[in-house]
Order: sequence, then structure tokens, then C-alpha cells
Amino acid sequence: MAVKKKARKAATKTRKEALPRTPTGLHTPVSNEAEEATGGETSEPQRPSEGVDPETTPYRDSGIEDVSGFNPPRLRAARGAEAEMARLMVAPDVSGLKDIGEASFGPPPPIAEIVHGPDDRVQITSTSSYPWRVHASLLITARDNSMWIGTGWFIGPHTLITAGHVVHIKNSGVPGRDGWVKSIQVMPGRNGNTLPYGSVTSSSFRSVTGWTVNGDANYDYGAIIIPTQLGNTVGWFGFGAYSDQTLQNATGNISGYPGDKPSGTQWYDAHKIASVNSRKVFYDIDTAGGQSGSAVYRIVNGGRYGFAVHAYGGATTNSGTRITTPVFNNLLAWKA
Amino acid sequence: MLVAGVVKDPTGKPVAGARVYFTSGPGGFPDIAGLTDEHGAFTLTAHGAGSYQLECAAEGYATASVTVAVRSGQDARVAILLESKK
Repeated sequence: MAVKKKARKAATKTRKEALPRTPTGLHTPVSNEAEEATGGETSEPQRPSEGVDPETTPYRDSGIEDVSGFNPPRLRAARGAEAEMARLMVAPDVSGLKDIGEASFGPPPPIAEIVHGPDDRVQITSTSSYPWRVHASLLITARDNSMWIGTGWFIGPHTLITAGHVVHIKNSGVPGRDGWVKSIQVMPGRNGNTLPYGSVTSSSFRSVTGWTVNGDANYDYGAIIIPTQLGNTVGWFGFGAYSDQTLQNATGNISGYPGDKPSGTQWYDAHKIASVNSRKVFYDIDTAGGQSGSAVYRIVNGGRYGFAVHAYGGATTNSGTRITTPVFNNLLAWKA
Repeated sequence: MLVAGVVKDPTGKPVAGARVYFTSGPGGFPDIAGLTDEHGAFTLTAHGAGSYQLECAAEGYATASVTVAVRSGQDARVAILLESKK
């Protein structure tokens, strides 16, 4: 009898532990729709999927994609450098997005640029293959009907991750613009005018109160839920919440749809991570307007795993919202 | 503060669908790009006073770069005249 009681108690405890736990506080998930998904928790990274007929692009042992013509000098130097060199780079704190600045125009303040030094980006033309087709060009219609471009990436059959400011505009200063966007046209693997997987329009979005209510850049992440299972075809990236040490030793890869290049073309860059704090990852990976929402990912044992969501240009480094445990839990829930 | 403007072609006609985005400015800024409407108009948000570099790209035209001074509490206006790509 005692043995049976113990077994029942253990089973009950297991069921309680398995119940999903929704993040709270500023990571409280929100949706533009009435029904919201509940959260889940796991310490294991979510695995990627290569989809159907992936024709997967190989990767290099250095943790970057094997792209013809991509071999920037700074990455060659970084590969030969000690890991401590990356940790010595101190990135500016961009957590305070609202920079008050100065009223006068005496000596100009340091100017932030998002393409740092030589532009190392290379165009990806094999966008119908994995992993490139995981990245989607986004055409966003805001509440006031203004149009914007951004980037998203699949994490599951019907879920893309992007920046919070892509799905919910905050503090624009333009009457009628703030709030959830009206719709987003999602174009996976777009290559100029070619849409190898067509496009799908979504009006179902997710983010968190830290962004939608507070407009805090530390919580600038969100999701697009599409009405099809297109992710089963194009595949998706895994994602995980990693330690400071893991990220500080990682090489970050970013591919997305920048506005400074021919319309709808995908561009890729990679570099060692510069630094991290508890909520953000900083990197000297070249990007331009339109790449908001891109995955910042690492390649581990042949799998691609997102660890941040690219969101901002900065003084000497760009930055993305780090996938921490509560962020991971929300991504997991939105994937379901 | 807002940075608003109009994008026109060499003949003075508005250019719709041009991509407008910051490439430099004080502090961090969202890496999103706006598209001009049918009147060639756009409005971006500057989250602090200072000097910003604005770029405009459109098919068939050379990419234009403009420096905009944003003063605290004041919106800035800019006109961008694109040149045909040679």
C-alpha cells in the first residue's frame, strides 16, 4: 500500500511540474487577439527543422554559413584571436532607447552607425534552400496605413519571431500610428521579385507588456502567427536560452532583408559576439533598416539556434533582445 | 521628435515605395525602414535630439543620403531628390 501511495504522489507531482508556466511581470505575453496561449518551460533548446527538400547549405566549422565570397578580414582575425579579446569589447548601454540628447548643436555627439567599418554583408540568392528560406521578408501595414519593412524567422509550422516594434508600434509620435499593426505580409525566402514559397498575410500578433505597455527596448520581441503551416515546408530554427559564457564565445549569424539593398534581397553577415548583458546581446554584425526582427543565431552540431532577436543599430555595435528563460517560454508558447 | 519628408524623382514627381531609414544617429534606433506613400511622403521617429543620417533607396535611382539635425521638441522636415542610376 505504501508503495502505491508513493507512486500516486510522484505521479501527481510530475503532472504539477508539467503544467505550463506563463511568464509574468514585463514578460507577460499579450496578443492583439482575445485568446492568448499559455506558456511552457524547459531547459532544453528547441530543435530546428529543415522542412521539405531542404537542399541545406553547408556550414563552416567556425560556426558561420558557408557562403561563397564571405570571408571578412575581421572574422579571420577574430577566429585567430583569444576568446578574451571579444569579452574585452565594451558595448554601449542601449537599454534607454529614449536618448534625451542635447538641445544645442555644439560639438556633435558620437554618431551611431549600424554598418560598422567595411560592409561585410553578402547577398544570398539560394533563398529557396534551407536555412535561407527560414528568413522572411515582411511588409507591414501600421494602424495609420503607413508601410514598413522588416524581417522575421520561423520557429515552428505557423510562427515567426520578429522584433516587438515590428508587430506593435510604440511611441512613434504620429497620431493613429501606435499600437498593433494592421497586417503583415510574410514572404519566406524572398529573392527580389521572386517568392519561392509565395506569401501569406497575418493579422495575428504576439508580444509582451514590457514592450506594448512600457515601450522598454529590453522587451522588444514579438511573434507573427500565420494562418497556414508553411513552416512545415520551409523549416525553422531552433532557439535556446544560453549562458553568458556560451554567448560571449559564440559567433552570431544574421540574415535578413535590409532596405539599403535592392528591394526584397536577402543579405548575410556574421561576427563574434561583442558582449551581453542580462537582456541584450551586442554584436558588430552589419545590418540596415529593414532587418529589424532578424534571427541572431549560432550553428551548433549542424543545427541553427536563435539566441537573440535583432532590433537596434548602435554606436559601435548593434543589438538584439536576448532569448532568456522568460523569452524562451513565450517563444515556446507562441510556437504551439 | 519626427523626421518627415518627401521623396521626389529628378523631374519633381513623388516617388512611392521608396525605402527610408536611419543609418546613424545618437543612441540606438530601431532597424526598421519606412516606405513612402503615393505622395512620396514618409515620417520617421527620432528618439532624441542630435544629428541623424537618413538614407533613401528606390529601384532605378542612386541611393541618397541626407543629414538631418533634430532639435529637442521640434520636428524636422527634409526633401530628398533622387538621381537616376547611371
